[in-house]
Amino acid sequence: MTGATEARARGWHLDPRILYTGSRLFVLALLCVVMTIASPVFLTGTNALNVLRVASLLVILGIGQTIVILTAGIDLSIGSVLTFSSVIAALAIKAGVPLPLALAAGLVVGAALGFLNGLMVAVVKLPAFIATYGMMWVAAGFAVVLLKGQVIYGFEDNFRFLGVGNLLGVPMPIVIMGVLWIPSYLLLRHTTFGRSLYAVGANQEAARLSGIKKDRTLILAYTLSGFMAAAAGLVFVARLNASEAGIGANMLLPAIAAVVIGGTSLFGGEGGIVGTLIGALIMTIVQNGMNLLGIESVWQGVVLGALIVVAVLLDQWVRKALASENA
Amino acid sequence: MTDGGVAKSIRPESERPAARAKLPPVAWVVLFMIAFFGVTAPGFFTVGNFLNIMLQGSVLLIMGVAATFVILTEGIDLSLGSVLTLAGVTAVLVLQGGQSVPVAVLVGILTGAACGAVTGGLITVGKLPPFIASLGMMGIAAGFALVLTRQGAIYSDVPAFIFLGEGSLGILPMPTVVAVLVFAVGWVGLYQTDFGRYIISIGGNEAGTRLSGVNTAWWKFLTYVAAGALAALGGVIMAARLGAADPIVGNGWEFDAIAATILGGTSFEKGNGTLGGTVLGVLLISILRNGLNVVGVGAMWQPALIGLVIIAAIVFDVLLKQRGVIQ
Repeated sequence: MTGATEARARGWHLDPRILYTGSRLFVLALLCVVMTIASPVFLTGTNALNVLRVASLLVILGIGQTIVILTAGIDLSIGSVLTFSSVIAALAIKAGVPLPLALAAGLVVGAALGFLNGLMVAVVKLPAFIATYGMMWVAAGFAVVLLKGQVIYGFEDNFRFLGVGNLLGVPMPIVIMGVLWIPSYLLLRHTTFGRSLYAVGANQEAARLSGIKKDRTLILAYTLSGFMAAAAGLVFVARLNASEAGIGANMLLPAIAAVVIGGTSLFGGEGGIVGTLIGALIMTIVQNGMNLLGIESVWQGVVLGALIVVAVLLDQWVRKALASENA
Repeated sequence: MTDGGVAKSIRPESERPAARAKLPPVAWVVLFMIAFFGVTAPGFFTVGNFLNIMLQGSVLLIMGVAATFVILTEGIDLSLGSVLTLAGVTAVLVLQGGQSVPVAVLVGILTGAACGAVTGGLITVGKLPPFIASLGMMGIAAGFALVLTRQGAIYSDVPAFIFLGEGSLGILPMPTVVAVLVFAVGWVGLYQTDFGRYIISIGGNEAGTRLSGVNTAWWKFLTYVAAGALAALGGVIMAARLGAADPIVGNGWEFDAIAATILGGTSFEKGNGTLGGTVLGVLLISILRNGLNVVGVGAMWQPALIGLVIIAAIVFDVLLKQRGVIQ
């Protein structure tokens, strides 16, 4: 403690936000070093692009999840919303609907499901984990109904381009991730909506009293999360060249893990999507590493569950230590 | 003991619930559904079918008791379904290893208690929000179930084990006998012991309970251990009924259990609720499932429809309560 006081007296005080981001970058760098030593193919251009491409789905999902978690909420439905909206788009494409319209339909459906989540949380005042958990099972159920137990596969090249194409040498999923990430960053950092997200998460009552439209902020947050889930779903289906009822089921835990590892507080009001980008990269390298090291994929649920829990524990511990130091 | 009634007796006379006996709304819904399916489905009103409903509702009732205990402490346990799966797996593995049925049942239940202890420890010692601790445990337990079964169902046809699931005591199926016992023990535990009084008191006012000298962390921890053990008992019975442990058999069961609890009138804040209400919630879900089967609604439609009905019921329940239409 005296060390910190001294450092501050000498004018060295580190902004906690930089410390958070810095510590995560350090973990990311450390992982890269370990992986490079453990596996000769890790630090190759192909694998690096591969990691980034795989991470892009997680980043897109993570943007929406971060926005919701900043309001002290949670969106457990993203996996099912991803599935359901991508099934809608896939069915539309197969029915001969022009591609832009079909994509728009998927995105609108995702946003609409998110909107319903927002209504349940903001207006009905259900706890977020109940409302979105219900949505998770309902959306998954209707995806099964729409697919009639089948798999839709074999899409036109224009659509597949979103998942497997390149723009100036950069894989499309990465391009789409950037197209979604940059405006989201600006939205969070430089708009009234962004600030009200943080305010609502930090203290709902105070935010309401200071004139922030709490309900509108919450509804918009969940709508954005649904939209992002739908966007991730479209990219995913384009890459797989198939739409089936199970594609979103394993997306929820990694997305939450990415956000939490990225340093966004589950209690709301702290964090952001810079951290989520780093968190998603860490998550992807861990998964990629497990594959490269030949760890069976069946272990991934165990690792993911443990990772989430440990990440939140560590995060709380660091916050507590920082808080007591600043006091 | 008189302290159990303190919370009630300090309420002014005018705020007490009306003294005349009134059926809770969920009871009306159950009666309505019985009438509806009775008229529309010829096979519904038969002794065989009612036994069927009881059999199908048994595991859900055991899970519902677990969920009710947890939700009464203002917590949530999203891992109950995966714990159910994992306990069935460990029990069948022990049987396959040549151990006796009591040992297998015990190992299954201890597996669940251990999962509950980890979740409870993360919540009480690690101070994690219950939904994230149990979400992590959901991933871990589901992951271990996949690892242990090598991703396929594992079988056991030991007669004494199968009897737990398929046998009957007089006219009552064994699962129903166990469920009734669990309910009875749960009722005594909740309403006649310190454990139950503390649980209700923690849900009503955790800080106040702690300040009055109760070790709230310990009792909350025990609640999650008990919930894990009960979910495991449900998993053992399920495995006995199927003669197999399937690595995804428990997926979504926690949703039904939580839904039954909330539909039964337990609110997820303030620790209000009754075990009797949960029985009604379990009946509602079981009759809905059974009725849809008897009417001939396809298996594909059922998860979507049931999820939708449950969420709609919860939303209406909460909205009506907020507007003071129902108690």
